[in-house]
Amino acid sequence: MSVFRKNIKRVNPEISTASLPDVVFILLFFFMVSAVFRTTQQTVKVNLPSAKNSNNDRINNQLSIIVSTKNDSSVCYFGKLSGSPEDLKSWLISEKEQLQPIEIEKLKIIIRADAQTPVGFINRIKKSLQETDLLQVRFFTNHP
Amino acid sequence: MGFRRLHRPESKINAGTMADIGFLLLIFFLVTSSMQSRKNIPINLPPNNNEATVISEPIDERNLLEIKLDNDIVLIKNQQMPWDSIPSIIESFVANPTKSNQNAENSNKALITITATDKTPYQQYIRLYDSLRSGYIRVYVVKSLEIFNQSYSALPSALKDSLYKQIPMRVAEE
Repeated sequence: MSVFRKNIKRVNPEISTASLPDVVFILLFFFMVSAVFRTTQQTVKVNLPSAKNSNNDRINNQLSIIVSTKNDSSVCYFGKLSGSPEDLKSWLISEKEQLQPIEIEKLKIIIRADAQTPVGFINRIKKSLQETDLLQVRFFTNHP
Repeated sequence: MGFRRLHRPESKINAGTMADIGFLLLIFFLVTSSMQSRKNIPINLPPNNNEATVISEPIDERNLLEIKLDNDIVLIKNQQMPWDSIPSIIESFVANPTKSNQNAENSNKALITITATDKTPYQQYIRLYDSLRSGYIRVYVVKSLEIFNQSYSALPSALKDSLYKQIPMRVAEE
């Protein structure tokens, strides 16, 4: 049994961390490239109107409606759906059902609409909002 | 058995600068990425017409400013006006410093109505709201010096809110 000697002096092996930056860089580039591909597929292009005297307040309870206009035809995007301003109502009602009355009181409707959208279309959205009793609207703008 | 461990000098690369590179990248992406804008124009819609809560109050002719919008043409009291003149028209209508009987008798009684044609682009509609707001801001600048003896831009938000309550921006749309 004298083969197994108990007090062999071990040298503490040190792992070189020099290649760690390379690994991190490769991961970084991978995520950067893959992230860019996904977002370009899913965005709706909206050219917000510009305004100088806009508020810059924090909005906590919100529902967001996006209106995109292309070649004289406008579409609303809300939640994961899209459609006409009249389709908004059923979505608004279902969203309202999930909220507490206190939250509904503070709920703001954010409208991000393209600058070329006709006002008639915006008015149809407003009518749907009025009919579902959501009256606090915020028109999002760009700074010129 | 005759294998002897060779004692090589261990090569070490200083990895201490990794953190610096990380921070540099973090700061770079923080600076270059654009934050989603929070800039907005708030409006409150009137309650639905079907409800009985609608109060109709008689409005004196002089407290009413009718604005019509068709594409980029603005009519104020059926007269075409250049865009630049809107803020000063709003200011004189709301504040009425000369006590003219053509303008609002009291700042909080002033009511502006907007009628926009359906084809008007949303950009022009927002531009009109923007002009109305800059007119009202002019009124607030004068009033905050009068009431609080402080400049409007330096006013604390609680006083600003009371100012907005005293002179609310009342806009009706058709």
